[in-house]
Order: sequence, then C-alpha cells, then structure tokens
Amino acid sequence: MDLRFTDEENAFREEVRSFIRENLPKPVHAKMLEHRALSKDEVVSWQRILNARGWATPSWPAAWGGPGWTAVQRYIFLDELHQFPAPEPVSFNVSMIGPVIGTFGSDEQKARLLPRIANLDDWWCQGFSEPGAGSDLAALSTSAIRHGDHYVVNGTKMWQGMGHRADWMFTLVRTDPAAKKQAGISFLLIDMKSPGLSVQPIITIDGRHEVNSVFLDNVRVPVAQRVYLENKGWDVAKFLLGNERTGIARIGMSKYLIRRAKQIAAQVQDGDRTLAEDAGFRRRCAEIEVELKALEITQMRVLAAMGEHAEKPDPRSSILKIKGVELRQAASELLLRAAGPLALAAEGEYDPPNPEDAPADTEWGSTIAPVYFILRAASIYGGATEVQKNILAQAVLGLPK
Amino acid sequence: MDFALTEEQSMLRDSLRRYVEKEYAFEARRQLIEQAGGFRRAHWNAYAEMGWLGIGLPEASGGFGGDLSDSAILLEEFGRGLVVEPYAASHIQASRLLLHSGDARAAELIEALIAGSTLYAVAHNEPGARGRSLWVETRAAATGGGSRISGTKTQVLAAPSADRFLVSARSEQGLSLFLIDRDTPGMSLREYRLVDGSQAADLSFDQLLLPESALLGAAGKADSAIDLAISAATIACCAEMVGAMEQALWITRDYLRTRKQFGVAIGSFQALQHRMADMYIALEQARSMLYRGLAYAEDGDAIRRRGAVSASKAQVGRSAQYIAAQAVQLHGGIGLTNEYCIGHYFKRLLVLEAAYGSSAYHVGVVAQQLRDAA
Ligand SMILES: Cc1cc2nc3c(=O)[nH]c(=O)nc-3n(C[C@H](O)[C@H](O)[C@H](O)COP(=O)(O)OP(=O)(O)OC[C@H]3O[C@@H](n4cnc5c(N)ncnc54)[C@H](O)[C@@H]3O)c2cc1C
Repeated sequence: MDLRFTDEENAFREEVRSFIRENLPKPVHAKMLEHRALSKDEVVSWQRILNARGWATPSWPAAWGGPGWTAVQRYIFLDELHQFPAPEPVSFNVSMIGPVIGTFGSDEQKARLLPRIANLDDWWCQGFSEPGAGSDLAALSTSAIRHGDHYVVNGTKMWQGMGHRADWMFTLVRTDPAAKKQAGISFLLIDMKSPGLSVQPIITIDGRHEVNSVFLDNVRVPVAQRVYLENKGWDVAKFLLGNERTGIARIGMSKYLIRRAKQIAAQVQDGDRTLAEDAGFRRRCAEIEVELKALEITQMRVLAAMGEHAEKPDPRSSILKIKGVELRQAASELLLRAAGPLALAAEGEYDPPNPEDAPADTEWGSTIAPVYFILRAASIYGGATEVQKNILAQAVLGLPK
Repeated sequence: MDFALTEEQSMLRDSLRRYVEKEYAFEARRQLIEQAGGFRRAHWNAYAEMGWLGIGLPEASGGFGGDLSDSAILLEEFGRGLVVEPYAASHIQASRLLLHSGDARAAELIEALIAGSTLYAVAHNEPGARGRSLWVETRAAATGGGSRISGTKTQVLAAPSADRFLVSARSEQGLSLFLIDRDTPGMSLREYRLVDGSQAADLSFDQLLLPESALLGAAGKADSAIDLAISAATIACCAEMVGAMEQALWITRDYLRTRKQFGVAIGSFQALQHRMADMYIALEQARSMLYRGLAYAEDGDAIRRRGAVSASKAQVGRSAQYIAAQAVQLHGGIGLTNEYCIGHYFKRLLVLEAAYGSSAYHVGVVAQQLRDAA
C-alpha cells in the first residue's frame, strides 16, 4: 500500500491548478465563485480552452483522442476544477455520449462525432426519462417505428438538462413494443432541429431554467443515427449509466461550498462577534469535513479496484453517489446557515439599485438559496439515493430482491 | 391537560380552511406572488371582516378574547394553505407590541388593527441579530420634544404594503418603540420578495426626525414588550410550520399511493414507508412542542418563557427541515418544479425556519440556559 499521493501526482495537481488559474476567464470565475448561472458561450469557450490543451475529455483513452489519464489523475483534475471553482466539461458530451460512441459507435460515427463532442461543436442532451419512466427507466414508452431507412418517433421525454441549448439528443426509444421491457429498446441520436421536435422549459424551484420537456411528434430519424443494434439499446444505456465514475462524488464541490461558508462566516455579524466564532457553526463544519475526508479515500479505493470504462460498474460506487450527494447537500446547508437571512431574498430581487449604498454583504446573498434548492435534485437524478441503496443491499450485501 | 378543540374552535378551523383553499389555490397563489407582489390588502380586509384579526385579543379593545391557542388554529390553517401574508408578524407580533407598550393610546390602536384599518409592519430585526430577540443597534437620540433615529432594519415583512411601522431603537435609556407612518419623509425602503414569495423590505433611517407622538410607551422601557411579542410570534410561526409540514406530509402520502414505478405504487416500497413513518414521527413531535410552547408563550416569567419558546422552535424547525426535504425527495423530479405544490412547501418552510431564529440558534439558547442553571 502507498497511502499518499505520489510526487508525480502532486506535481500533476500543481500543473492543473496553474493551468486553470492562468486560463479560466475572470468573469467566468467570478460567476462560479458566486454560484451564478453561466451563459452557453461561457461554457463553450472554456471547454474549448481545455480541449486545446487536450484536457476536455478526462476519462477518454488516447485512442478516442483523450489524455489517457489514470483514475487518480482524472480524480485530481476534476477535484481541482471543482475547488477552484471552474466549470467541468459538459458531462452529457464528455461523460455520457462520448464513451458510448467510443465503445458502441461505428467507425464512421467515431470519426465524425468524437472530435465534435470533445470540442462542444455539438451540445448534447440526455433524452432518457419520461413522465412515466424515471427510476423505472425501462418502462419508457416513446416509440420508434421503422419505415425503410427512417424511424418515426413519437412520445414525450422529460427533464432534459440544458435541452434548450442542445444541438443533439441521445435517447432511448421503444422499437419492439411486443418484447419485454428492456428487450425492445434502441439507442437513437436525434437532431434537435428535426421537424416535429419541440422543447418546453421546466422552471425549477430555484427559479432557473435548466431542464425541459421534449415532445416528439412524428419525428423522422435516419436509421444510420442508431447506435449499436436494434433492440439492444438497453446494453448501451446500462453502460452509460454505470460509466460516470470518476468524480461522481464531486468532493471538490463540497469543499468549495464549505470554503465559501467559512469565508462568509468570518465576515457576517452574529451579535457581538462574527459567526465564525460560534462553536456550533464550527462543529458542524468539522463534522462535514471529517466525512468528506473519509469519502475521498473511499473514492480512491473504489477507483483503484476498477478498470477504465469497465464492462460492469462496481456496485460499491453507489456509496460514492449516495454519500457524495449527502455531503454536498450538507455543505449547501452550511452555506445557507452562514448567509442566514441574507440568503432568503429571491434571486434577482435583491440586486441593489445603487451598489454603493447597499450594505456591503448583501449583494451575493440571493444566489445561495438556489444552490441549496437545486441540490435537492442531486439525490434524485443519476439513480436516486433509494435506488442506490437497493443496489448496495442486493448487489453488494447479497440480500434477497 | 385537554388537547381537544371546542366546538367553536372546530367551526373556526373549518371556515378558515374553506377560505384558504379557495383564495390560495395553486394558481391564485401564483398570481398573488407574481402580480400582487406577495400581499393583497383585500385578503387582510377579509380577515378583518371575518373577525380573524380579533382572535386572541382582549375584549376590552374590541377583540374576541381567547389566547394564543386560538390564534394557533388560524396559523395552522394558514400554514397548511401556504398563505403568504405575514399574520405572525403583522398581527401577532404587532398586537403584542401595542398591548404591552403601556401607551395610553394602545386600546385605540389595537381597535384599528382589529378592524384592519391599520396594517402594521414590525421593523425590529437587524442584520446582526441572527435570532437574538433584543439585538438592536438602531440608535435613538432625543431632540427637543422628539427623537432622531438612525440604523437599518432588515427583512421587514409586509413593509411595502404597511400603513405604519413599529420600529425599535436604542438610546441611553434603553430600548424604545416608535410608531412611524409610511409617508414620513426621509424613510427609505428597499423592497424585495423572499424565496417563498412573501413581501419584505429593508428600512434605513439616517437621522430620521420623529415627533414626540411617535414614541410608543415610555422611552427606554420597551424590552419586555418586544420580548413578549417575539415569544408570541415565534410560537405563532411554529403553528404555521406545523400546518405546512402536516399538509406536505399528506400530499406526499397521496403521491406515493398513486405514482407507479416498476409496476407498483411506489408507496409499497418499504424503504419509502419507513421514511414516511419517520416524517410522521417528526410531525407529531413538532405538534407536541407547539402545544408546549403555547402553554408558556405568554408566561410572565421571562426565563421560563424563553426556554420553552426556544425548545419549541428548535424542535419544530428540525422536524420541518426533515419533512420538507423528504417530501421533495419522495416526489422525485416533480418535487423540484415550480409548477407543483410541494416545492413551495419546501421554500415556505425554509423561510419560517429562519424566522425569529433558526433551530440551530434556539438549541443554543436552551444550551445556554442549562449552563446558567448549573
Ligand atoms: C434537475 C434534474 C435534472 C435531470 N436531468 C435529466 C436529463 O438530463 N436527462 C434525463 O433523461 N433525465 C433527467 N432527469 C430525470 C431523473 O433521471 C429522474 O428524475 C429520476 O430518474 C427519478 O425519476 P422520477 O423523477 O420519475 O422519480 P420516481 O422514479 O417516481 O421516484 C420517486 C421516489 O420514489 C423512489 N423510488 C423509486 N423506485 C424505488 C424503489 N424501487 N425502491 C425505493 N424507492 C424507490 C425514488 O427514489 C424517489 O424518492 C433529471 C431530473 C432532475 C430533477
């Protein structure tokens, strides 16, 4: 055993950190520091900066044009992005559709799509969930009926993150209605500009627009845009869902939320002292930090035991998802506690008419509650906490189904 | 002990529920927040017409008698229906400030409050207070017959709609209360809405000159009125939270009975049944602490009162955080949308948890009392 990072790994961390420091545009960093939403252009240009350095696709092997990093390097890279904080490369592209094309795509699909995915020339969204198919994804009912060299697709997809920005959607459709659940599903790539496809915003409780419904009304999709075999889409989906491993716990994000909570606590008044002097606040910080340290090592242990893009995901990675989200939520609660009443104004309503006159510490308050609100979703998407616990109980502990 | 409602109380509850279900139905409430800025004077006038502004106030000032337990019936219903107008602040807290002010005009002022003709906003909370009931840095200095006040008040609920403000300020003599009309020149309001849609403003005073008549009660003698008013308002807030969390629990129960995944109602998964059982336990614990708080909220012994009030807010706040978070979780994605009710319970409960001191603050008060008693 070697229980510390090696010198090379530490040097790599330094290299990543100074690259981010030197290359992340200042306005983007300023927004990230205050949890503000980024524009499409900001996300795209940052990903292109990373891509020019060969770092936009941390989990890709060299054969796909990726950096071919070890699991530890991938972890360090994301950890540095999260802590800085800088945006991570768009996960729909880099962690989801990219590895699918690299693994299941035809040579033509690989050559055409992988470079565009990495450079964010095409922005992808994930069209899996439906109103009636969430945790039970295989219950999906969007249908694709083949007419010669096209499928005609009908149905409703729901919860498409950034669907309004997307150029393409990868989606699961039912190509064989007679087959049992998982057996009749295919994996299709759909151009968001296709006639009959429409996108409708869903506003979430943080007041922001990130997710959408996507309606498919007789949308024609060329058969060449199917990935892998007809009716074998579930294999692709399982691979994709089990794939997002490195950085799943997003420990660096929790670290940043705690850092910000401490900064605020050191500034805000709590009676005749600052909040940082409150023993209860410090204790809560410590509790979360201890658990985060444990999770960081658990993550390294799970990564060490796992190959790259393993055929079968390690069921223990459910620990990373469950605990990672729990701690991010706890860190956001701590941030909310630090900001106190300053966090309760609705976003956009508290922008001071004259910043000079405003109490110095109020402008930032209203972007904090939205972080807390939207993090409630993290224990629901990507395999809800309850579903992950079922996996641990059954696949790891061997309890009966 | 007797926890049963009287026949009159049950009737009151039923009429409140009918009104709230109609006036604060999902779409009506959305309009109230987005178009009317989170406060409708017509609602307040309706409360007055229905006699709801006289509940728990002395008959001598035109009230209907009774006590805070009667108000709690109203507040639970308001919580259940996500009423955004701040009854706890603009009615419970304001009426207690007037009642305990010792001012000769108190009875007359309370009469106007009960009639709904004066709407009060309580401008007491300050940025550094973080729950401390008597934390006031706003300064008052005597000048000629009147006073000048300087300072900042934050998150003054209903301030954009109020006719008058009850403002606390500190001078060498101690804490005083001032009655300030909204059109007083030199007052500056920064208006905004909170995350739950309720209406608030920050008030700042820079050497604001007030006539002698603005002083409510004796100069420097307002501590006890302020503290009593906050105790009552804190427990009122607990009642509102219990109503909201109870409703959130049953909405979630209903959803779990109807939502199907894997071919069955998700409520049939034992993991979710146990979660709901835990939520139910948290609710019952909160309700018990509401009742205990009601028993002491207007107790004359300040130490005993504060201890009981803090214990209540601590428990109710913790239960609320748990129930609100799990209600969203058990709904899955739909719990995250603004188009569905449960997220609004989540946001409302967050604001109420922070009001009059968070549960973390109030646990600290209880701990401090343990230390003082040792
Ligand atoms: C902000 C956000 C972004 C999203 N982005 C995308 C996206 O980009 N693309 C996409 O396709 N989808 C996306 N989703 C959808 C997400 O994947 C689903 O919300 C998720 O699969 C849960 O499904 P559901 O919402 O239908 O909840 P349900 O499946 O109905 O679950 C409701 C509750 O029941 C529990 N439950 C379900 N089954 C079991 C069980 N067997 N045992 C115990 N408990 C159970 C759940 O854990 C949950 O608490 C997003 C969702 C959100 C909220």
